[in-house]
Amino acid sequence: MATVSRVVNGNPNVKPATRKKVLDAIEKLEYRPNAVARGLASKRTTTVGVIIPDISSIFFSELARGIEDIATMYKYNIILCNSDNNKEKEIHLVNTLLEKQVDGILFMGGEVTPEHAEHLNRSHVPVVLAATYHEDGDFPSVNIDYKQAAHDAISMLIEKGHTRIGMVSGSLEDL
Amino acid sequence: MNGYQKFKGYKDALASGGQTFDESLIAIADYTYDSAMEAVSQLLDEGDKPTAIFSATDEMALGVIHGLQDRGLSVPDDVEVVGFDNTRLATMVRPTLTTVVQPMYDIGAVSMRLLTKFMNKEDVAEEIVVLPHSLEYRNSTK
Repeated sequence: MATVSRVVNGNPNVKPATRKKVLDAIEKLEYRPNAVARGLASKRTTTVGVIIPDISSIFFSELARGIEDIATMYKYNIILCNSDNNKEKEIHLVNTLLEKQVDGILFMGGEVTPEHAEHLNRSHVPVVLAATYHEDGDFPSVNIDYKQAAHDAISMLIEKGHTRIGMVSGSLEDL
Repeated sequence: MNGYQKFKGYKDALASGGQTFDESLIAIADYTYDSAMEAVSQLLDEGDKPTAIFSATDEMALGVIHGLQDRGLSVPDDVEVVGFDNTRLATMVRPTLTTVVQPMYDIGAVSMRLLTKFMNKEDVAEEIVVLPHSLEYRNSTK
């Protein structure tokens, strides 16, 4: 069994003749490596949990595509979860993903509250925030400068001579 | 959606342009198209009409444009409109939408790459990554 494991996992420490014998047997049996068993042995699942508000939105689907493409490139699979921007659901998803032994979590949501932070920090797996602002800044994150971007848009309108510029804003609680 | 950050940027820009903040020029919506249409009615009914409207997302900007047009106003002649995100929606409306470009695909790709670095215990030079934004000019502004 140890030899089979070495072959399946690409360990070079196997004689070519033995490797061929194992690979032939695998093909004949239509054997597929058991991802669960493999995860148990290596303590890694090469699975990443991705929490986003809503995949059906054009906005998040582009983000998800970027995530998936790079995950595939680095041989990770993703478990994609929709949170509907609902705090209870987000925290529940974090815990469910951790129970599934994901190797990391990518989180996108409206706000990272202290309660979110507590659950995320409990994980001992890396967490990255995507397009999600966190005031305390203690999670790694990838963003644009939202404040400056809005500032630029308004300055452009002011330069055109507007003195009554309205704004249709989302919730101001959503940091 | 970083609603507060965008609002703060709006307020700061007014201040640096020497303009006073007027609460009646702000309408809060819930990021849906419909809520933005209602928000526009609110802006038009309260006091002096705005001559330009900044929307926190493209989807809401479409509600803003259609809400204005339903009231017989012309975009951009009566009111100029600027969105945020630069999703496909920006080119699926008439007039096409001037908007802030948020590179969503890149944010997804870079955040996943950052995560793989942590998971594979590679060196990480910067943990807080800020990608560049820009403005895409189309026909909802003059």
